[in-house]
Amino acid sequence: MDPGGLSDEQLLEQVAVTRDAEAFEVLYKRYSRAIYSLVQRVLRDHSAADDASQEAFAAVWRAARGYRRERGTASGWLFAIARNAAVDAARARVPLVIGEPPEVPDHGPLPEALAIAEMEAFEVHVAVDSLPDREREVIELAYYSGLSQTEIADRLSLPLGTVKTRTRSALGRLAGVLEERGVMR
Amino acid sequence: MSANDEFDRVEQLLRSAPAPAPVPPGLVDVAREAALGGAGAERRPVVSVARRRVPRLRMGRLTAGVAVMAAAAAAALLIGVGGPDTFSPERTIALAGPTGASATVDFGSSENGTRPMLVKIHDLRPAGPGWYYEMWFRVSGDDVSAVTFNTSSSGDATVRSAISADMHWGTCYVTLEKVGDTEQRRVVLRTT
Repeated sequence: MDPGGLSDEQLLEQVAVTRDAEAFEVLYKRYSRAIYSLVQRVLRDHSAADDASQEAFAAVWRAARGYRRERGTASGWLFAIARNAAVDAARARVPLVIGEPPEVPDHGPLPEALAIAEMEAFEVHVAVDSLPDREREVIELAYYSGLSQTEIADRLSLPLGTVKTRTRSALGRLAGVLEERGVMR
Repeated sequence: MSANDEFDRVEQLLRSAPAPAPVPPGLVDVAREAALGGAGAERRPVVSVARRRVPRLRMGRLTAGVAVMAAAAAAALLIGVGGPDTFSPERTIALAGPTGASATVDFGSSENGTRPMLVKIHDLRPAGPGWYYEMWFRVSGDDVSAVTFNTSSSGDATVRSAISADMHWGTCYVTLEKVGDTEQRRVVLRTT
């Protein structure tokens, strides 16, 4: 069976059971940008992000046998692997200091809010990367580059109506994918 | 949810997610090499399958979908990792901190490449909003994260997790971590 048609969970299981390199490549293609972006946000350093992303994918290969579908989605598992690789890399750069918990309360965002925002961004990146190229292109120009639909039409030398159609189609497709991944509720 | 509501929600998600970083062109080759047989492929044990949520997590305002997603995600921040619910300890270690806090870690027998562990923490002040605790193992100079947690108002917590079965570590310690700021860590418990 063509691995491109398999779900993420099936691909991970293929990697775990048969050490299927082709399945791994498909997973890489689906998740590389989301994982790299996540790692980059944690480390804020391109060179360190390169190393940690490499480590994350090596860890996916090594640890795939530990994935259990009944415990959660493949996407959540990959997110955890990637974030751990990033955090491990960050820790290696910081000296340890013995101390006590602070007395003064911190009014920053709560951990669960940050975890959810990180996970949502991860899922959105994976979903955008699953779009057909011509739809992904307009979504990225609109939401990541901040261009108006008229500016996108100029940039891509397309009629404005085509840009609108592709945008609407992409949003519908993203809604389906994100709904399936439990992000839309 | 109507189609318009769906589109609004998608647009909201797209706007709140930062633009993804472009993946360096050569990374695919390096990652493939590392994963499929490169020299670095076995250099660091990695564990982490999210499973159990610590009691302190406030779920009331989370939707079910996001909650499931966050639960699956959070070896990163909030959740213990998998392992059998019960096991017979093969080994137990103790940790202590400067403020009288303590912990024990029971390790079970290895299964499917992982070794379950049960962490019991006592008298460790709750981390407070924006902070959390993380348990680490020092392995050949690298810090390997095992589990994140918080304590109850009584200062206690019990957390299940797992480590790679073949991991040979020298020191186990717990740090206080500030969310989103990797340079704010402090060690609060260490193996005795």
